[in-house]
Amino acid sequence: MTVRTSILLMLALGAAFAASALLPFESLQTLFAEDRTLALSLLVELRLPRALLALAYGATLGAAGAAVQALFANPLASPDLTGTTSGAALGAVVTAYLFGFAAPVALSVGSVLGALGALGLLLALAGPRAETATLLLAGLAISALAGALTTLALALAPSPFAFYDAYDWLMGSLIDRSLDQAGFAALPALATIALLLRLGPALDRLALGEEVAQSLGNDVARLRLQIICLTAFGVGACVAICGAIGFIGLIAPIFARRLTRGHPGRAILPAALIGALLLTAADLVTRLAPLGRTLPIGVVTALIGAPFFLWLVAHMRWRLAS
Amino acid sequence: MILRAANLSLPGRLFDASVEIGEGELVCLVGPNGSGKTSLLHALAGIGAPSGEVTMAGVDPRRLGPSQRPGFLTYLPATRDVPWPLLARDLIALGGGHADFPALELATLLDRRIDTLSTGERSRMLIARALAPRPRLLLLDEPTANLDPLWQIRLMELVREEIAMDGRAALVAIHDLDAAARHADRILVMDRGRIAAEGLDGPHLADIFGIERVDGLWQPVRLPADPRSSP
Repeated sequence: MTVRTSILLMLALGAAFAASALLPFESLQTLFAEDRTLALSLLVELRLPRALLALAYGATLGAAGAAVQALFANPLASPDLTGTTSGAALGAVVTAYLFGFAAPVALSVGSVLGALGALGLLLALAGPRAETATLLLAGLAISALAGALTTLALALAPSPFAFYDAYDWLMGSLIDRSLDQAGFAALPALATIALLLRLGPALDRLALGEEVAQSLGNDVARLRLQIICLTAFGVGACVAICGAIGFIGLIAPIFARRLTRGHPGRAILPAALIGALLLTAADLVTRLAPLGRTLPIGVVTALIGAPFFLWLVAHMRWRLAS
Repeated sequence: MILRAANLSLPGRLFDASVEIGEGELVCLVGPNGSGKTSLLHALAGIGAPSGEVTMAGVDPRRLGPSQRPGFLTYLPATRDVPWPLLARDLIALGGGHADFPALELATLLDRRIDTLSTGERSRMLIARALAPRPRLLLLDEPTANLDPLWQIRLMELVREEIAMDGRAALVAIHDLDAAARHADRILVMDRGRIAAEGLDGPHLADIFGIERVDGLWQPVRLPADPRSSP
């Protein structure tokens, strides 16, 4: 990534962050004229956590997606397609029944454990250097299992309120989170991204093949364990606060590698920036789309991401055929 | 001595192998499929979890990290698959060196993606990756596979030139016995996970490979004709 592209990315991200905190602007302006204190608290307690969460969650999905794609040497690996987010969601829903949705620490722990379980299962099922078909099948199986168990947990909900709480959260949402909750997602996210960045050079050498990477002095087994634990930690912490959001972890690394001449490890930082940008943009769409009400953000990323995924599959098939 | 390795083992694949390689030596490793050639190279390169000792210049290179290890040894695997579509130039840089090998004629290929190269071109590129850090010891698994006859000879001559500089050495696993005889200073013969013999002369060749030289050509060993079946 050149200095110019990094500056452009940072500027775009800053603009998106500002837009996400300030738009829609008219209502904020009117409120400022009427009641300054109320307007300020609206900004700090509602808009700011939301903008922060979009930034942190998007960046985590981008960085985790880049790391997982590099680890499996497969551009279709991502936290959502491999079942990590579903596992995290299951972990969080089960924990929520035990401790309620207002216990962020327990929720985060449950969610991280769920993500860890899903990734461990994926590695056991698909193996460390999985073919695309095996990887996607294993991911599908894990997502289906976690989804079924989540539905079961919903069906056994102790009360209709618990059911609606869980359902609402499962759709993925950045709305109505406090600054504390945003911190619970943002701090683990920041730590995860920082630690993943340190593994970038080793992931680049892994692109030469596992045996060559080992002969160059990389402990591949340890690297694998580190990526899995970090990804589960970062994604789990974000899912615990905001629910499952798909496709960012798939798309951001693919764009990011265009900036790093295809280097999978070097793509972690740009993937984090692009992920943050994409999720912030998706959040803006949920608010500014003229539908009279706010769309769930998970729906927006899926509506944009699913066609992209289809294009990607078609493109890969075309390349394999030619 | 460049390398001393003793009692190298990988359960079920390699048993108690000991090797010494001197400065400037090109040692070829021959043996039937599954005899442990690749396992021995792995054990020396620190791939998998082999037991045994390896010493180069007083250190075990397998304990060195990515910044130092390529200066001691590099390894070329037998497979020419690269799991990620990098540019050829970047592939060589990631291995820790520069691609200045005029003999390999890489200049026009460096800015292409590795998955768009032909098998032979990719082989040359991967060989350049292994040579580029200018290691003391080259561990090459079937370096001449996928290369045409001219390139096979050029490649082995390049390896010879490389190790002639500053007291380096190469250990090359190879199936072609004639190429081994032509290029090697010493030939180690492997069989069932052990180093069974040295050199290609002697009765062990028929026992291990099941072939013998008849009128200058390698032929399957024929069992002595059974007198009862003859007319």
